[in-house]
Amino acid sequence: MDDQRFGQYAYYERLVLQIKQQVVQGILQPGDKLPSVRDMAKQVQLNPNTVAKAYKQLELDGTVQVQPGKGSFIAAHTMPAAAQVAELHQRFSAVVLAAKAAGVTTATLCEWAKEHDQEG
Amino acid sequence: MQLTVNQLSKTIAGASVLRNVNFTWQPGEIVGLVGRNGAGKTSLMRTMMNQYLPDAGSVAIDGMMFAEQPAARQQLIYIDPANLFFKRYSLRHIADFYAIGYPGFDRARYEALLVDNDLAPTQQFRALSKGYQAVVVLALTLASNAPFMMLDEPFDGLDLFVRETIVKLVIAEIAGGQRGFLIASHNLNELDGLADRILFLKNATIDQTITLEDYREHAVKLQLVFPGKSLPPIVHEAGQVITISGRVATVVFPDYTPAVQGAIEAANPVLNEALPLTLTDLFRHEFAKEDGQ
Repeated sequence: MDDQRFGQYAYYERLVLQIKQQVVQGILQPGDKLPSVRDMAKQVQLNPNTVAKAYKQLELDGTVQVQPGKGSFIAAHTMPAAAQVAELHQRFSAVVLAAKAAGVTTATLCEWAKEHDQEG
Repeated sequence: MQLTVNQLSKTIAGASVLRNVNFTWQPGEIVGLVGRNGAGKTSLMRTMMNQYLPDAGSVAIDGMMFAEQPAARQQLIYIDPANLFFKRYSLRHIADFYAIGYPGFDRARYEALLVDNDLAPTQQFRALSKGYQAVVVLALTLASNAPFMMLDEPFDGLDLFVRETIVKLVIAEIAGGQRGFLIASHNLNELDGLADRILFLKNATIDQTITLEDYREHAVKLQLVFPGKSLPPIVHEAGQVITISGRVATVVFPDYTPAVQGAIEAANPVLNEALPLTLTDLFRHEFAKEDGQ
C-alpha cells in the first residue's frame, strides 16, 4: 500500500492498482487465490469494507473471478472486451491531450510507457 | 441493530462539554471520533456510559433507552483509561469484574488473547508496560461480547508492533460483521484506512461527518504555480490553501469536479502536480477554524 505513485487515490483504488500491478508483474498468476477479505484486511491493515470494495472492483474489471463459497481467484488472461478497450483508449487520449497541452513531448510520453514495460 | 445518540448534552461546572450530540452507529462499522485535546471525546464516551448523567438527550439501542432500560447497557462497553479501577488486581481476577457486568463475557477467549500476547493470567495489571496494558484493555473489551465497543485513544503512546497487534485484532473482529467500534483519537492519521467514517467533534458537538474513502475519491491536493502574481479566484472559491512558498501554492480541493479542473487549467498554471493527500491536511483545515471563533 505504499507505492508513492498511487498516493492521491482512495485506499480501495490503491489496493486495486496494487493487485493489478502484481498480476502484470506475474507475482499473481491466473488461478491464484486471493486472501479472504478478512486476511487481506489484516495484511494491509485496512478496514474490511474497503478491501471488499476493492475486490468488487477487481471483479467488475475482470481481474478476478469469484467462485461462491471458495473465494476470489485471479482470472485467466482473456481478450479484453472491446468496450473496455474503447473506454481505456478514450481515457488514454484524454491524458495524452492534457499532457501535450501542458508541453510534454511525445518522446517523454513514450518514455513513460516504457517505464511500465521494464516493470513487467 | 443500531445505537442512537440523540441530542445528548452535558454541562460540567458551568462549561458545556457536550451540546446536542447526534449520531447513529451499527455493528460492522468502525466509527472514528476525532477532535483536538479537550474537544469532548472522552466526555462523550463517559456520558454514553452514564458515568456522567446526561443533562438532556438519550442513548438507545434499537429504541431501548439506557435511562429506562439499564439492561440495554450490556450491549455497550467502554473501559475508561483514566479510571482503571482494577490496576492492582491480577489479569485473571479482572475478568471476574467484567463477567458480572457482561453476562456474555467469554473467559476462555480472554485468556486465549492474553496467551497469544505472551501474558500470564497471574500477572498484575499495574506491573505491565503501557503497551501490554493497552492489549489487556482491548482483550477485556473483545471478550465482553458487547456488540458496541468504545476505545479511547487505543494507540496513544504505543510502539509500532503493539499498534499493529491492536489494529489486527480490531480488523479481525469487525470482519465478522456482528460488532462495531467507536474509536476516539486526537490523531486522524491513526484512523486512516481503518475507520468507515469520522465524526469531527468540535466546540462540544459533532461538527461534521466524513467518509474518508469518499473524501479521497473527490478531493485532490495540488501544487500549483501560476504565471501571474496572485492566485486565480477559483483557488480560493473551491480550494483551501495549505501553504504558499514563493510562487508555489499547495492547495486542497475537497470537491475536484471537472469544472474546477477546467477553471484551473484555464488559468494556465506553470506547474500543476497532484500530491499525496494526507489526512492531516483535512484535519488542519477543519480545526484551524476553531481558533478564530
